[in-house]
Amino acid sequence: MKAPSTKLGVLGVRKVFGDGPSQVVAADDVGFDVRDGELFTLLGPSGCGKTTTLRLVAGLERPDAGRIVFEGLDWTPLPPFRRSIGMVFQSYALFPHMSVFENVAYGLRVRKTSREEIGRLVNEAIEMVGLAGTRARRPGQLSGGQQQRVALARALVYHPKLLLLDEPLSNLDAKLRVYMRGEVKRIQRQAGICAVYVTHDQEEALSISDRIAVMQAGRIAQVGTPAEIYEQPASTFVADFVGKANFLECTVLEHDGEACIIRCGGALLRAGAATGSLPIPAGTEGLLFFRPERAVLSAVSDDASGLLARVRDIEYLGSLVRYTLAGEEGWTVLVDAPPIGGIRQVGEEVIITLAADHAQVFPKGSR
Amino acid sequence: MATLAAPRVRPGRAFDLSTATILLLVVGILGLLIVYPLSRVLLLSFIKMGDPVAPAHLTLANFSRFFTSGLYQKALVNSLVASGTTVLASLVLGIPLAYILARVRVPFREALISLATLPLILPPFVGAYSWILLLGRQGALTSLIRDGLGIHLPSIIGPFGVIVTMSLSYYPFVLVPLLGALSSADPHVEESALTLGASPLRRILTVTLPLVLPTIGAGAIIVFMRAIGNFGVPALLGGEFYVLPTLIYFEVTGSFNLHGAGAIALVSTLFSIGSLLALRYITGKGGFVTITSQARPVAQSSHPAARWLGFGFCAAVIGISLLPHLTVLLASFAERWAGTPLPTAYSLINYRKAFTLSMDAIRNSLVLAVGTTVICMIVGSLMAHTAARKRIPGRWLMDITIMLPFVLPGIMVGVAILVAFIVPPFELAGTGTILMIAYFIRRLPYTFRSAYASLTQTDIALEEASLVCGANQGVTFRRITLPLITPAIAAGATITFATLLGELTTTLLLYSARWKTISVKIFEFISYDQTGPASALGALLVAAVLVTVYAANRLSGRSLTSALG
Repeated sequence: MKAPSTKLGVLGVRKVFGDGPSQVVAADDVGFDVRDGELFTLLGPSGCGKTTTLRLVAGLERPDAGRIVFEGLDWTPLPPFRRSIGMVFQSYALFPHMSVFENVAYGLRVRKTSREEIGRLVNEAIEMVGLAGTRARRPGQLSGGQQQRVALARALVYHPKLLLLDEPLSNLDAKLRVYMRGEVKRIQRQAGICAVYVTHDQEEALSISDRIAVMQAGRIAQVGTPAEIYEQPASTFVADFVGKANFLECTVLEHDGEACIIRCGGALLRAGAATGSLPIPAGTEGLLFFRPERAVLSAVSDDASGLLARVRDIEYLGSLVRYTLAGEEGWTVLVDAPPIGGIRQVGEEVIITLAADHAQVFPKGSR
Repeated sequence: MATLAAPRVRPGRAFDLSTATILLLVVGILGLLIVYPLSRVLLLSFIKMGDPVAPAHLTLANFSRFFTSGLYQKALVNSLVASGTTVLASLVLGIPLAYILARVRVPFREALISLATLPLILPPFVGAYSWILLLGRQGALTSLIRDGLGIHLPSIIGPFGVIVTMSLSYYPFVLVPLLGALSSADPHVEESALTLGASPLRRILTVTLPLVLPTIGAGAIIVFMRAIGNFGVPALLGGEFYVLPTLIYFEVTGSFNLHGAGAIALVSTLFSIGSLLALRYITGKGGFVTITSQARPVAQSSHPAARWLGFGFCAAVIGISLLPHLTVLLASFAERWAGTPLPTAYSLINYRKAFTLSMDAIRNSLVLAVGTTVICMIVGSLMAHTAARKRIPGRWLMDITIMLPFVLPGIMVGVAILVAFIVPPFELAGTGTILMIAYFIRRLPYTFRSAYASLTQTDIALEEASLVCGANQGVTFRRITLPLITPAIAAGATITFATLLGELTTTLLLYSARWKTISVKIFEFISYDQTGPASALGALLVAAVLVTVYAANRLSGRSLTSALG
């Protein structure tokens, strides 16, 4: 049935809030599974149902349909305190009336762990998140990053079987956010625990995750490794949401299931077919997709074949130059190029070349 | 894509059992103790005394007395006149006081503000009674004012005394919110009026006051509601000056006509509900929000003349408003005090008398106040938790039901409890239970409201974090929710206890020989002209209230009287 390494199974869960005309389907037939030791991310824009899905896994919401299964045990009817989970909240939700030590010890105290054991485990956890020396302080006396660490320690100290993280880094400033995501990953690895991580930050998701589920309007749009999500998005939505994307209208001339020949912007190009998309009949309209950094710019010459465009705008970003290029037919695309060998000028004509495995065709009208 | 035969999930028992139990408890308590008595008094007021309670006997006879009986008409007019005048006097006292305290760097400002809020928690009838000591025919100040200043004050017994006492008790309802509004107003608005060429007085009249008009209006309405429902003051000082609450009392104790009393209470309630709707309208409009990008405290005048003149005015008003309670204290130690500014002999004899005659009453007051406070704390916080945390239908109905006895005149609640619980199947007449029921439903809003406010300000994720950590709902409530809302519950409980110790209005309708309280005893002493023991008990009461509130303030580190506003 399932791969032996599967820990958490989310099976076709559905959650509707409100009733009558104001009802909102927050999660609709959401299904995925999380493997042992894996950091699995739910990624999507706000309101896509990722937090609702996480809360369903936690037992803080009850599904209207579907099941949550963990290690073969049906968790669906269990309240949160009967599931072996640790959770880090977006607001951290540290108990303001308790010290750092007491916050971390809380899960052990309610489990009636012995006093010596509590002392040992709490110190271990505080050490693991690098917070030694703050254990007597109150949460209000800690910085955002420290609170974050306390929340992690509190969620891990009683060795839960599953760690849930709800946008844990969104309240930190940009620099700390990048540093802490490495820390979260390290701590999760060290604890050897499988984790479900919710974020709307695609860069964070790509950098931290073993696998990602991209969600859209209460449904799962794609599940895959960060590379799969980035390189072979299953829909224009995923392509657009994760990273930067260029879309160009095109006509499919030939399609053999793996690659197509298309006519686009007056040029004939080879491009891969979108993953999972059915063969597109020859002659139909499609959307050509490629990432800005996958295209190559070259000077106009007879042996260069590709899309003819004119440089309209230049953004110098240091490590790369971002060109806004416009075609004669009125389309514009972004192309990122390293500033090696000079920067092109506004108004200059260039050829955009695309390798077939870095360009993809979606059937038009698909999302 | 249909969900592949995924089973419908049954709600877990652990969750909904507790919700259902609490909900049942809430509905039961509110239905039995609030909805039932109020419905019953409503029903009885449409049935003549002696007639069986049946649809065929519904009549407006009890209400027609307002058109036929001179006494009824006079009481209605008196109520409106006394309450209206009290509102005006409260505005005259409260507005300048608030302006000075907000805009002038008055010496001892914090102390003055604390003292100014005291009348809100001190029992008004104790103050009322001490005006007799001060300005009665034998009063300490009567001859002084008449001979010394040549002013002939109207008799303290009658409308004058009622209005003076109520105004001095209720002006803080205007002062406190207005002080807040004036202190937090954006100074730029007034400065721009100055730059536009307005004189300071013109600025106050055209900019400052109009901006806080909704606040003043809301305060005025609260004063009106309190005044029209006040029983103790007109009962002690009214004499022949009957108002609706004293007329109700007269109907109950004089002829035991609960039907007639219900009808009067209903008419009185209409004014309260009318006031409440007006209040909703005013506060619903939200007043004027002055939007500012940078918060800057309002400028306070620190001109020495302004400071000391301001201090003089504030100290005088606040001093006079607290004078009655100081007088009670002085009188409690006075062995002889008649017609002179100060007592001519001091002793502890009043306390000795008071104690020997009122030990039972003191015990009863403590038992009732402590018992009711504990019940209010438990039920109030449970209900607040249900209202704030559970997604239940009809939550607004629960809120209104709990708040209803708070806005209704106390005497109305008393009559309702009387008509509901002295007949089968309850037959609680004269018991401590019936007193506690009345106390409970009138004071429940204090703990409910403060716990509710505290809960809505507490992140729900804290409780979720506890559940996720492995604590069940009971443990979560005990170890997370409760500690966080305890200060708020304690604040509500303090006010509950402090105001119950001297509760008079409902007590006078419901007490029995076995269940006399301190307030009943004071009332009796006054009726028998035993001013000494009355003062001693009154002083004890005032002291107990002050000590309670002071201790609670110290413990929680904030002003609890603010919960009353």
